[in-house]
Amino acid sequence: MNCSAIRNRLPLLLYDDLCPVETANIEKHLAACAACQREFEALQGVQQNLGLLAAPTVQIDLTRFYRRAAALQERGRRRWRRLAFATVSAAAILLGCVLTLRLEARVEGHQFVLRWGSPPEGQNVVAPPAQDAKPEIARTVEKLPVAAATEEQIRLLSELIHALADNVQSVERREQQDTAQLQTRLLALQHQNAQRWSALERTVESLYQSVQKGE
Amino acid sequence: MSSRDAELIERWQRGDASAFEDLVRRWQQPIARFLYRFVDSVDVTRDLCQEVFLRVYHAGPRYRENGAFAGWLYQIALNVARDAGRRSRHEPVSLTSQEVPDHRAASEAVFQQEETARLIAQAIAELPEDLRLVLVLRHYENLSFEEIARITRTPASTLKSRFAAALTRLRIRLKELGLGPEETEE
Repeated sequence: MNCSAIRNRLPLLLYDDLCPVETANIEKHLAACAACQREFEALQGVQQNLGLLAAPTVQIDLTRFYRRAAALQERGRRRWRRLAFATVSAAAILLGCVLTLRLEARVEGHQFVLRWGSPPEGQNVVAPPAQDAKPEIARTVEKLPVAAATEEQIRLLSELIHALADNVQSVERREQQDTAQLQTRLLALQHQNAQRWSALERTVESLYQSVQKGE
Repeated sequence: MSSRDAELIERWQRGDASAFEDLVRRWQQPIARFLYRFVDSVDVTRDLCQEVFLRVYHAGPRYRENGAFAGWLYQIALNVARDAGRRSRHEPVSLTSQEVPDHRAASEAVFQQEETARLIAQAIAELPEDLRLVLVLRHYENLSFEEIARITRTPASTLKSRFAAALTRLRIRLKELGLGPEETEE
């Protein structure tokens, strides 16, 4: 390896991130190359300097933490409730449209058919036999499953709305349980703090009395 | 990850809130140290540290124990630091404005040490984020390149190159700032 390649590996040598063979090779090179040795010493200086940078001591206030967690959970629950309400409303509107307009959508041959309202009068009546009686009967028979399909769609939509409502209720129950747990924990912490505080007061009081007795 | 972490996580997932509190106590300092290299004040570090553990608290039930809790935690901390960076839009993220204590009462030696620390912080802050990240995780958090690779989802070989580049840049910058050993030699 030349000096340039060696210098690229020096930071890894400094932090013991090289395999023993490579370490031995580079150390051999350093023993013979003053410039690379200087570079290595400079990097050792950087490593020492990095150690001078202290970090602050941080202690999380658990009471504040649980309060914030509860607030966030409540916000999440409100958001979920709004979303669920919007979804159920949209489904209800859709169901209303289907029912009142008697919407019917289907794929027929190579076309998509969207129809609303009652079928034109006489359409469901079987026409008297004529020359083209066979296709007319076939069309009328096709209509019969349409009503059943609409009923099926309505039933599915209704089931969907019920499932959504159940889901909303279960999520809300779960969230309420979580919040109750958080509140319990918060109360326990407050109780612990109060106990510690009164113990501290007693200690201070006894210290004060012993100091007074000493005097 | 130590078996202690695994045990605490298991207890916490079973509903023992005190296990989560032990996890917070165990990890709050390393996470604060990590965050401090990316933000510009102790107060912000404290808030972000809380934010990290809030995310952990909410994601905890979904966490699947696979021996990589530390990596998962640092990943969350990194995301929090990045989000904070985007919010504050400080470019470059400045460590130079860190709270500096009142020097008047301090001795000359203490003042000198603080000044050195300020210059080092400045040099680190000037590094691009990818170089700074690997430097902080390798030097300050003493993580291996394989662990850093899992956190940053970057190949270990790339991280090694970045680490070498970060240290070399720091050497040059610290020399410019009057902290390089070569300066005394030359």
